[in-house]
Amino acid sequence: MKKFIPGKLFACPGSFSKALIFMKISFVLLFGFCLQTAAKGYSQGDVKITLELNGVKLSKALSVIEEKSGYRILYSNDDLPASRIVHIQAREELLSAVLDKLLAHANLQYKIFDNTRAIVISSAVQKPDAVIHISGKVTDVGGNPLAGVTIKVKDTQLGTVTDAQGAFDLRFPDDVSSVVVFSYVGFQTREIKVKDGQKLHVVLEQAASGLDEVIVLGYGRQKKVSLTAAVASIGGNELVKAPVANISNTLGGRVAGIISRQANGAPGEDNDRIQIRGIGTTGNSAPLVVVNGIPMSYNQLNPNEIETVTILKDAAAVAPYGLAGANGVILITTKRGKEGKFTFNYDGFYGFQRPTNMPDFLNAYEYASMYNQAQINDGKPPTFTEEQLQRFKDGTDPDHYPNTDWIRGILNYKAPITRHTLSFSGGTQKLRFYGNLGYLYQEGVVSPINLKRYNMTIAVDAEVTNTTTVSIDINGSVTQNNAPAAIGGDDIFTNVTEIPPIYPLKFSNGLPAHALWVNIYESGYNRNRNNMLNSKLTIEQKIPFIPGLALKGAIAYNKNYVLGKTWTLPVTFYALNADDEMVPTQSGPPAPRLSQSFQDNQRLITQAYILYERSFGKHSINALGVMETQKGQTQQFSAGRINYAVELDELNSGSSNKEDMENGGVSRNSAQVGWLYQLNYGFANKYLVGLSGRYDGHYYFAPGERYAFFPAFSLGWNLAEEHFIKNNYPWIDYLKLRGSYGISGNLAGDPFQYLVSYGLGDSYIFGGTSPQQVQGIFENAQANPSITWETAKKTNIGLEGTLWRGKLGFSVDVWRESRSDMLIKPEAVVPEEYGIEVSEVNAGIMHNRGIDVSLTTAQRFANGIRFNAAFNFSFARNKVIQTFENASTFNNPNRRRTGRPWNSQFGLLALGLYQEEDFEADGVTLKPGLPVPSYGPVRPGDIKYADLAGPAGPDGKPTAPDGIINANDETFIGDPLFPQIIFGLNMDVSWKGFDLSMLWQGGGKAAVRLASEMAFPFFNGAKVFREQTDFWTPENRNASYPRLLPAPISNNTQTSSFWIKDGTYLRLKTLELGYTIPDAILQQMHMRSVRFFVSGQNLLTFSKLKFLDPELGNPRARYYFQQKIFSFGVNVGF
Amino acid sequence: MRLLFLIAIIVSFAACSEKNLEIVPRDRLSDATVWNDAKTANLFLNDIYNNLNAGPFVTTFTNQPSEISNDPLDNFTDNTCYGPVAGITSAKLFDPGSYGPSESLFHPMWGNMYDRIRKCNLFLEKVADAPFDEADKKVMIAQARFLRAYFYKMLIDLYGGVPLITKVLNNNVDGDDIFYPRNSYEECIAFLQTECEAAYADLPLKWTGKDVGRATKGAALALKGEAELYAGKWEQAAATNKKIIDEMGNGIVYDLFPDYAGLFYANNENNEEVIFDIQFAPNIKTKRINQYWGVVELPKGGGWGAACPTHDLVEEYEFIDGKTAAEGSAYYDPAKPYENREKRFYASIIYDGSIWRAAPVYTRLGIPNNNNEIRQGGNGGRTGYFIKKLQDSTIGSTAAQAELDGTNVIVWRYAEVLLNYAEAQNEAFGPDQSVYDAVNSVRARAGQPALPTGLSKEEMRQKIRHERRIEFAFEGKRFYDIMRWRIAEEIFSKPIHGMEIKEENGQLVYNKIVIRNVHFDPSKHYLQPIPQVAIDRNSKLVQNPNYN
Repeated sequence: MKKFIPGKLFACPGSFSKALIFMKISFVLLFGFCLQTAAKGYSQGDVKITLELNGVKLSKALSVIEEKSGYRILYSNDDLPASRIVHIQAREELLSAVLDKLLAHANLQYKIFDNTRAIVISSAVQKPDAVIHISGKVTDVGGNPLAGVTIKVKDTQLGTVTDAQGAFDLRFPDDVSSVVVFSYVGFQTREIKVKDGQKLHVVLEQAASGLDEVIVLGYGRQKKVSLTAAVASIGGNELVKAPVANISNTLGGRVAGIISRQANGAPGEDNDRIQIRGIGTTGNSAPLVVVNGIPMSYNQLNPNEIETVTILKDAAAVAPYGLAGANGVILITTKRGKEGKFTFNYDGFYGFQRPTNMPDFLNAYEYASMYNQAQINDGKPPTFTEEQLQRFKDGTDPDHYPNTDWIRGILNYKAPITRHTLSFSGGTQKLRFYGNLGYLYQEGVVSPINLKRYNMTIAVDAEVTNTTTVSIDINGSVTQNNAPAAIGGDDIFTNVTEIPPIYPLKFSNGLPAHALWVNIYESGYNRNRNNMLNSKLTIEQKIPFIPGLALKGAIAYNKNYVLGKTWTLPVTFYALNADDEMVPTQSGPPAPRLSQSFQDNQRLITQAYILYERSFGKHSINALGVMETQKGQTQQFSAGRINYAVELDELNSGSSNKEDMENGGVSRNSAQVGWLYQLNYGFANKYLVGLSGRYDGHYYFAPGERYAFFPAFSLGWNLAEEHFIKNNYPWIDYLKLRGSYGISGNLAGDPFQYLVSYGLGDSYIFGGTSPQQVQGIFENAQANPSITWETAKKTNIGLEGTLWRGKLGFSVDVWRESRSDMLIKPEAVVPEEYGIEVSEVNAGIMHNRGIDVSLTTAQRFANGIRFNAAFNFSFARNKVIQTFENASTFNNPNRRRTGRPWNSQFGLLALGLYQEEDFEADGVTLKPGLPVPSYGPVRPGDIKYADLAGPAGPDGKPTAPDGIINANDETFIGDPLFPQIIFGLNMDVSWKGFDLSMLWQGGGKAAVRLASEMAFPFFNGAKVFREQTDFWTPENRNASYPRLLPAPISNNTQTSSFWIKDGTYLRLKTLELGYTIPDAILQQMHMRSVRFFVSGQNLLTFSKLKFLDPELGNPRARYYFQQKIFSFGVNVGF
Repeated sequence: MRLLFLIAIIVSFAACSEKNLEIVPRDRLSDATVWNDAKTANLFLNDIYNNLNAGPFVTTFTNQPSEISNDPLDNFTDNTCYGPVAGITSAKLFDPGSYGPSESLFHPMWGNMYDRIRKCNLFLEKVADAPFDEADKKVMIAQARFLRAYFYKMLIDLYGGVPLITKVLNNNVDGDDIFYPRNSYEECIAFLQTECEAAYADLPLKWTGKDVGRATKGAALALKGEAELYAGKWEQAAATNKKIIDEMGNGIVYDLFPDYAGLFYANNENNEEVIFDIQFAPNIKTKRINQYWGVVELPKGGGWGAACPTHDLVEEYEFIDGKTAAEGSAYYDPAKPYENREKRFYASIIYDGSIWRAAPVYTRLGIPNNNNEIRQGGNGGRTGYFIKKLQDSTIGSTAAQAELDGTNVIVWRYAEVLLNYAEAQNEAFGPDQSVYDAVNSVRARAGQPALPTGLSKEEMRQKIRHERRIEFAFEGKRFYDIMRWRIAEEIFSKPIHGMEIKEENGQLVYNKIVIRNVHFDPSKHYLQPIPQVAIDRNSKLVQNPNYN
């Protein structure tokens, strides 16, 4: 509707000067000043307008009113005496009054739709004949009514909009057209040929899956069809299906190119480690996360407020991020207001969490019996008598012979998680806004561990003049992590999976019998409150005299402050003494203590854009240039007191003795500047060229080493546009071949490694009986004045398309990357006696290659069933090409790290277990010819290793096997822990208000190593799980565990392939089943939409590691186990 | 026009952005700041002191050999047995004799000590040219030379000769000269002697007030005397220790503290017997030996019993008549073996029925709810005894309570000077009266009768060895003693014992049981293997014999 008339601004001095004011403001903002903008506020009610028009056509007058009021005006040319000349003057008059004046004489009537900000003008004179009258309802595919849908008769101004129930009623002359166009923001436009008297139910499909889809890119956006870079995107509506607190848990398996691993389940620490295209460096391999154009963390966001997540994968996509882009970029955009009816939504769920997997531990009787057997095997008398065993078995004396289930005794298998979100959205063409309020509560396995998060988002977009758009984004969150003071989640899991069942948790009279209980519930608290406030102001100014050119300025100020408070109390539990009395035992500090910390981080980011987008015939150009500066500052301080006489958890209440007080603090600054460009040229939508790059500077490095240029280029060829495809293969809707090559960077190491410097800190104590701590100065690691960033050269070739009218979509990318200048310590070049860390040098090289595949299908069956499925597969395998490696491993092909994937696992190659026939008749001497382990004597049932090599010979190469098992026999025994393959299958089915979606996700080419408690029964006094009863005995020769001993012998604890387990897994990551209440019922309730759902996360897991989660966080399983979640919830639209 | 103007501003803004990246870090100091002032240079010296630790390993962390870890050096001798903690070095590597260059007993120590040596070298180089007062410099330099010698001695005691590096290595300037071969053991001892002499010359006799804890003349000589003794340089060792006795002993600076039991506790820190000690302070720099070594109060935590005295050690304690059971003491009663022992026994050992933290500790079998019952595995002490000496009974044994343990750890005390002298003098000249005097004064403080007169040199040698074992039990000295006396092969040829006590018919029955067997290979184990990482990175280093 909005027509831009060049030259009009010159005719209208008022609006031109307004435009200039905003241009000025935008530039002022670029320089870091924050001015109050003089934007005029629009009220929701009747608008007042001022205008003076003399001798203009009525159509012209209406278009001026349209512009001034922000209302769309719909009318039929037939009704409107368009050429009628009108005069009108109004000063701050109500819109209705102005329209009255203007239309009264023309015999026209009008109706104002305030909700949708539209005015429909029609003839007051009914023309009974030659009229088409249609009515009906517009809904989305889910049957939700769509309010504010524009309905226009094709090629006319005649039309109407739908009301709150999605209903419409339209009359128009039959001689104009019989095609009616239904259009709505975010949905595919539909044209329908109609007949008089027809009742219609029009269903509009969301536009997201179409080729018109616009992809958010580095600093701009581009239509998918004209994209030449490798990117993938996920809609926010996908992410909210998972009932989890953290967005990162929802990404794995959703799109190709993301490889993820979740190694912890603790509230607030359960985020997945996300790698885009695997791990490409030995340094920091984390991708850059950018939220609404500003680099920041996304862990605090409410998944409900996310519009899209875009993954930038190849050089063409990441080049604009310069030295931060080489590990890939995760771009997140949050929701914004849409033109249309005001909507108000509530989304909430409530769920329960429990560990995904837990070993089945032996009970007290089984444990004690097995322990006796271990003792006997070790040639020692049994520890427990038959009578004691009986007591454990019958449970008659639980205080002395308990049978404690530590898992169920401590862990809550129904830990609640809940999230509630209220969102508001709406606006006119001129002013759109979005608001979101969120609340999350996630309880841990014990109630003192929990996470609370409050989110608030406001996004306002205002078109303050014809050419100026101002956007204000405010996004805040408060996250509070609570934990007991004396114990954390990882330790709780360590305790409950370790403490044998023969010890009591509580005595029969209720007194705590173990420190664990009181440490959880009575030891005080450890709280962390993270307050984030991110604000951003963006002003975009179109340059009126150069069509397609715009300037944009953005200034973002992100602040977060973290308050930490730990209040630690002494705790008491009880133990039985020799006289069977319960005596108190104190644990924790002798008196209460408090420590508090405060950290304030702030970042100021300014971006100045120049944007140009225009088509000339078959040529289309989309270009932008940006200058960006980032400045950051961190300050922190901490204070604490000990020896509290009163239990009042305030610093001031603590001991006044200066020796009982402590404090500390530090501050740091950071800075980065960059100039970047993106240039895309398309010829006839067929041949596409992209150029992008960034000239980047960073404070980490020495003057002279600070700046570097990271360019990339890409090409695309839309094959489907070629006649030889179009004419011969009509089933190909879209087919594009694209390729890219470029250089990007990665910031590694630490700031100021170029400086010779000394550190300063708390140090030794002098003074004897009146000790005083003094400060100390120490030399920092050797400086390297020429240190700089890592460089990544990335190549990508991709083919993507859709076939059979969208029934099948596919995308395949083959890529490789060479990362050089990785920071490594050239330890091998200085002796161990050197005495200080030698400076890191930019010398490491790693290659990384892989493939991303995705397939999608959308099916719609006659019976109303809709089925969508998406499969994706990502494979990434790196290889260390150059690093500093010891001669002893480098010269031995078995042990060489170079040339293998980073973090490949090395150890001895286990051949199984020794059997009795491996020994002489004495049972202790290995038969001649068998290699002798150097880890002490072995017996039948111990692990037998392969003798692969002897010590290095004079040439440095290993000699032939020497009959001794030692470090020389080390070899590659397993893939890295981090998976090299991730795949996902995402399916959605919907039918008559029911919808079901499933995400199956799996990982592969990863190896898990088990150690200590997870390998050996009774390790360091730990308990035993069911699988460990499959130990070697002369009868059980092919056991999965070595012979049973009370403590493992050194031979068996060597890192070896015996303890490497395949980390391949498949899991039902997310499942959601929903039901939407039919409209008929809703209308009576005056609701827009109501949907109930049940959903779950990590519901099923299949892996070879039967008793633990395959994403094992630690070889000893000493970590907070991953959780599975069952939840139910509701989405309501008002 | 306006637009052009604005674009010009952007460009000019961009041009000055190099300045935006100029950030001066505020958490570190430059070379000039550190070395132009005696005050700041002294802070560097403080840091070197801060790198001192009790015992060879440089951390209090668990499972690494250190004087204050859960695997103290006495676990590598017949004095104590490791506790029920899996993965500790003594149990895992030492007992099977399976340590080698790739997995050694003191693995990171080689590099750690050279880190500290570099600090000393850097300090000495920088201070030599520094523009501050020469008198200040002299004392600072003397301390740094002492500390460097101390770190070298840590290496030499374990590895024999090591590369003597006395300058700051710089790979950018020195090229291949940063690779040093090992110096001979003789050269290393000679170096220590020179360094200690130099330090002795410039160090004060005593520090006072807030400087207590710094190196003194006495510390320099004690270091030298011990090095000479360990090296078997008997005459020199005798002379050096004699010099301490003559110049500083007998109350001039040092004397025996009257109460052996109280000698090691916080309220008596820096008493007249202490020559050099590592400083700790409650809540600031703490140890965890109460937790590590403590009696097992709970099934898990609250004392780990990680270094329990062996019955072999207990047998070595004399009765009040100055004789052990083996020597036919009249006070020995097999039914009451812990009665009438010498004072040091009661100061050092927690035994069945003895009082600890105001309550009896039982290690015998059959006491209900007892976590201290002798155990062959799992948690609980292995030997039937626990360490009492060095543990502060006023502090609990949980991890949090251990923060209160700020008692200094004594490196050398006057009793050692006396016994060092006695040993060296006896070896060099035989058991003259000065030898008797030195040993007897130590015995007298413990309330024990004087040695019988007329001992042969060999008999005196055995008496001195016995005296050292008892006097310095759990102080980390015996490991070096059994190595330098070359008696480890003999000691470890026999099993090590604990004491199992049972009540039968109302009588306690004492039953000596085998708890531990150590495989010791005299062809290599008297010296530690140099870590393979060091050998790999410096081709000039030659490994100690028979490792590989």
